[in-house]
Amino acid sequence: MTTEDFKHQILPIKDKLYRFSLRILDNIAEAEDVVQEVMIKIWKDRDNLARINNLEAWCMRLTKNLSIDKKRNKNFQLKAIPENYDIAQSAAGPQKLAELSDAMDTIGKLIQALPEGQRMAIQLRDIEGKSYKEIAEILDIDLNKVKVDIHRARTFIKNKLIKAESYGL
Amino acid sequence: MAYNKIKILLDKYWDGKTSIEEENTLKKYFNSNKVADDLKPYKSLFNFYEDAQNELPSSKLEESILESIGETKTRKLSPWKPFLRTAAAILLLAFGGLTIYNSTQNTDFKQAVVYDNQPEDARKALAEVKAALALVSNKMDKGTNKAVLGISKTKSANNIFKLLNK
Repeated sequence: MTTEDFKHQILPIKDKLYRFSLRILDNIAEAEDVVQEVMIKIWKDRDNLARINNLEAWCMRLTKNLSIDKKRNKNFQLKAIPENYDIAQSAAGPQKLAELSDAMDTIGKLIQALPEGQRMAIQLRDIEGKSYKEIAEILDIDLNKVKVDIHRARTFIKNKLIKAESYGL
Repeated sequence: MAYNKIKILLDKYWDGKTSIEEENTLKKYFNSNKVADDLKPYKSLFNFYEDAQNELPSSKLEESILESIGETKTRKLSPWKPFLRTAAAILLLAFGGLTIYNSTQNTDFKQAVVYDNQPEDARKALAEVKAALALVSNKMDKGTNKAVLGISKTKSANNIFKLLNK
């Protein structure tokens, strides 16, 4: 693989890798560090890339592993809020939910409050538009586990949104 | 998009039973300005997904990646490095060998060996050996003094750094 091949085939994936790492680490600088690390690793292994079937899924899995390692090794302080997080009781307040930016911020916090596995599954499905099969491959888990995680995550989000709406009424 | 169809799709979505195409339909609907009032609580969720999909790293990241790759490449493709290493090793060995050879050609050393084989000149030989040892001792003293001076200078520098750090 030449530098030009790398620029055209690998480098464009960096945005997806960054978003995925960001969802795990919740820290821009750390996520960028992970992506750079992944890219350098790919470049060093460029002679062995031909044996990989789905290069993007492989890169995503590498990103997931490095992000989780980084989070655990450095005792990363997540700003995630507990699972019993309640939109209606958040600092923004129910009235401000009408303002889009505040609502978006709240949704971001809500997703960040999901358990790690569910959060990664939602990122890959609802943001990156990956198939369940691809998600299972990236996360290295069973297909049924992917379906269960996505169902649970969406139910959690839906219930919080309904609760916020009821509180507002 | 008909309201009823969206309601059905939304229920399927919460259950995790929608296809990617159906989810795209929902995203399109909720990111439009025609969302029904009773569905508005869910609008922000799909707006968030739309925004998150366009989230990008800083432009410096790409520069930094390309720079890293360039460095790796340069290191790999440097053909002179092994030759330079070998040449340096040969020069070092040649210099060391010459130095040792020259030191063994010292005439004083030869005389000492000769005196050692002639017992009648033992006193003279002893005097020569003493003189040689005194010379060595003198040189060692000078070296020790220089080392002590060097250590005291290092200590002074350390003290200055400590003061600056306080």
